[in-house]
Amino acid sequence: MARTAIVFGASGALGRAVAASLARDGARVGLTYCRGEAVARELCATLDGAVARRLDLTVTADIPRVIDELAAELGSVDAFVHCAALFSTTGGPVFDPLAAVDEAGFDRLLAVNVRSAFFAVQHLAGVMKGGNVVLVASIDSVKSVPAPVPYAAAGGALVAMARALAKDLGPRNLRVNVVASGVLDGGLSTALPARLRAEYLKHCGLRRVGKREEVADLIAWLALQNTYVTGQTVVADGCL
Amino acid sequence: MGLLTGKRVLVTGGSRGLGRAICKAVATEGARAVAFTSLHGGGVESTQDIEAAGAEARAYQVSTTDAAATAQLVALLEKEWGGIDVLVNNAGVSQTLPLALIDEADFDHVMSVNVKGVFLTSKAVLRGMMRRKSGVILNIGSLLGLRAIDAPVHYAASKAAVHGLTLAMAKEVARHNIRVLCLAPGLLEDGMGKNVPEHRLKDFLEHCALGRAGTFEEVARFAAFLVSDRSAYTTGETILMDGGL
Amino acid sequence: MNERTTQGLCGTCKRLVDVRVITRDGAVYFAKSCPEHGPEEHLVASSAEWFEDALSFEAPMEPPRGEVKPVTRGCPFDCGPCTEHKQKVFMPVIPITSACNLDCPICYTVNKNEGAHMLSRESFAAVLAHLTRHAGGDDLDIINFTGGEPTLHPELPELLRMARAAGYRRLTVSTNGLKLANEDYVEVLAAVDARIVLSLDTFDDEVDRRMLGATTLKTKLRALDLLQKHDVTTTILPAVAAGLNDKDVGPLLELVLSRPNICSLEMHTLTFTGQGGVGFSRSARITTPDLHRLVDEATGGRIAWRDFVPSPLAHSHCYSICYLLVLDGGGYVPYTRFMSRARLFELLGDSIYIEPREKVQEAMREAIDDLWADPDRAGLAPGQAEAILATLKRLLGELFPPGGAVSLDARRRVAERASKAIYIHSHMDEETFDVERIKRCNIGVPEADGSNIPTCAYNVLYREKDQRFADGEMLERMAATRPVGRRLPLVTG
Repeated sequence: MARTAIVFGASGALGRAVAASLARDGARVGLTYCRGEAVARELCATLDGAVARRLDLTVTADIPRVIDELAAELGSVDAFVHCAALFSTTGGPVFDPLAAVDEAGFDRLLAVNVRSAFFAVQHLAGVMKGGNVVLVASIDSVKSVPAPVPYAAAGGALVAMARALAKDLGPRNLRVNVVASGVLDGGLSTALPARLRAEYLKHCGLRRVGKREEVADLIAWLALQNTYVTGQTVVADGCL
Repeated sequence: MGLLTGKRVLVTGGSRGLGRAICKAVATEGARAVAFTSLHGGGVESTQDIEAAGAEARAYQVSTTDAAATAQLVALLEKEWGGIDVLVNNAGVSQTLPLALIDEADFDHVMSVNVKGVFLTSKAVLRGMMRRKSGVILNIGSLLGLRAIDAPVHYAASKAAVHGLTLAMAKEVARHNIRVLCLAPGLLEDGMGKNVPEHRLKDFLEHCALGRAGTFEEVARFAAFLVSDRSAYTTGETILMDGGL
Repeated sequence: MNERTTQGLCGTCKRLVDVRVITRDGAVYFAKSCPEHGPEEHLVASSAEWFEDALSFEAPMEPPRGEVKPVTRGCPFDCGPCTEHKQKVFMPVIPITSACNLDCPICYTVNKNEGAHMLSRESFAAVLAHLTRHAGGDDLDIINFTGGEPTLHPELPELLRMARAAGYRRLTVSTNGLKLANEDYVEVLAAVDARIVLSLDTFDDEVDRRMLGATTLKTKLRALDLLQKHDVTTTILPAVAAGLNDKDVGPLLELVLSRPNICSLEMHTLTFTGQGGVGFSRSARITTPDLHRLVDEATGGRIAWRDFVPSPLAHSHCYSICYLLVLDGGGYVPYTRFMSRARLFELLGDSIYIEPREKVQEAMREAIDDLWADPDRAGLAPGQAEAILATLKRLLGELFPPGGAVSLDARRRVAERASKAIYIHSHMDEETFDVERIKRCNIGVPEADGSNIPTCAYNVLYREKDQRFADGEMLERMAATRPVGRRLPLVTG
């Protein structure tokens, strides 16, 4: 079975849970970080065979290079998880009001959330010999919920991208899917204003936020065990 | 430690095809006991698969449209197992007929098995699940209920109904910590799509990104994951598994 | 366990004294001592178990709205409310006249017929203005018209109309019902949507005479027939005294259950204030747990003491409340058999009487799932879960009929008529007075100047000073005959 995986944004709150899930399922993980070097070191220390590289996702030219380096250390790439995202165009844990978005911020968010995924998969298509790609987004990419517009737009782009990539890469036995999660117990979800969080809980069937491990397990399954789901966006939101 | 260690599972339509693969997959993941129903009895192979994986196997001849018999079966399992943790509503029928030839009895039959049967079985099992505040129901839907593909109208309607049922049921029982999902396979080898004429099959495969029909085994593997506690935050969703059609 | 203490009043001079709450033989007493009049001890509850159980229910209070008076003499002598008062008014009680056409020995107030006070429309308008201003957007659930005998006020229908126009939903009139034996009058009150709280204490003519000083039963029963004919929502309100009409509790409950327009039984434990204070021996004192016992006996245990909960809106000893779901096909079941006592307590948290709002709908929704999933639970008779579910299903069909929207008012009516309630309300007199209870009082007499005096404080301390209501001669009689009754001998046993 598949045994190596690259995770972009593994130093993030969800990313590290994904790395841990993958490792628990027997995979060696190659992870990238930008500012979370300490987390990356810790993951490398605790997860069997994990390796790390720093990668600024806005620098497109670095993406193939880092992928190749990680692939070389791992020996192969059986799965790729894109788990890095900016929630706000200003970089902080803030819910952007529409009027506050400027062009530079917009471009930067799309670069990290979407463009980097595109160029990563473009390169990996030549590196991976079959396998799974999982792109991570939130429910605002597919459901009607209040969300910062640039962030939701990026998620929607990933959804369509996965569909098109699935068609393109299917003949090469590469499957591409999105996991869209609801509000979680950490990570980007902490930027959600209290009022929206309360509304979510009120309407969420399970009446709780999701645990990062729960979504990470789903991502890990789709990354390592999946053989026929492709082009889909799988939602994990406790029935909103 | 498997994904479903210790779980007690009921699979309708489990004597062959996808149902049989699901029985095997859940047993392989450590289920303690697996019961399955079929319309015509039989299921020796399913029983063997389950027992080979180390689980208790039980086979029953029950139609999902028979509310009384279904309730009886559920009561029996509740009593002897102490409860049912997972229900897989897999039993379903189709009919290869163009609209012009579908008469009322045909319509009623397909809707009855595919929709009412799912409702009746789910309701019977939910009683105990609600009492225990725990459980998972997985409905097997179909691509043919989601997309405009040549499909018998009544079959497509019934599968679309299952998607709607999944959504509403999930919403209602989530408060009791019960999950309800739908897994909608595309074309499966040896599946109901077996009755698709050659040229259609060829056309399908051309448009399928992975270029092949799915296998029962891989669908069953995903089903086993979805009903496990590892997937605890997914509910109310219909997940399509169609190889990129 | 540390002994509870509180503060109360001397039974003779009504000054503030310390109270020790003592338990003896499973019952609870207030033991106190006045520097001038010496020690005294009074029964407050015949069951210590109920006394403690009630206190285990706690709920937050909402401070009074509007003007609040500063403390000068200390509770309960600065009523208005004063800054020590913890709870806002949930039901304003408006005595609209001091006149009464009866002279009941059990009356807990004092009446005055000569130069009787009649609340003017202007004064009432001023009171309403204060009340609506203080409500500040809250629902105006309920307002109570009383007296004396309110049906003696010629403008009662107009006052009811004014209250409705101000936004009050439930308009209740506490009456002896004598004037309601007249169909024309019942029609007038029905037209302004009045709800009648009818004093009915007994089915026994002899007891009727002793308690009310007249035989009123036949007239009241005729009034009840008319109220039923005109579908006027009615509450039966007996004052219950030990050795007198305790035997009527069962038949009174039966009456409430048997008539569709009667929505509740409200039992008042006999209180020794006002005229009642001088008329009756204290051996007639009955307490809340005694009434629980009588209900349990009358229903063969179908309604038990744990089917009652306190009101979260007042001190836990003031109200004891039980709601019953009326079942299709006959019979009833206490809510507490299909929801927890804590849940029922919660449902009573917005208004004195349960309003069919979102919380109730949610509770019923949960009850449906719980009953269906677990029909054999303790507390239900065999087959009862199915009967409850069938009733709830029928109700849903009436509340939300397919193809047609039902108006909010109509929906409320369906919901209200689906249940019956038993309220036990125990007013305090100077012997049982407890300042902890008065501070949490949620009903009271509002004045045109915006002040409000909690009812028990009013009955014990303020009414006799109120020239509009207090009759000089009566007051002299009351002063001359303390502390033991003089007017009528009491039959015991």
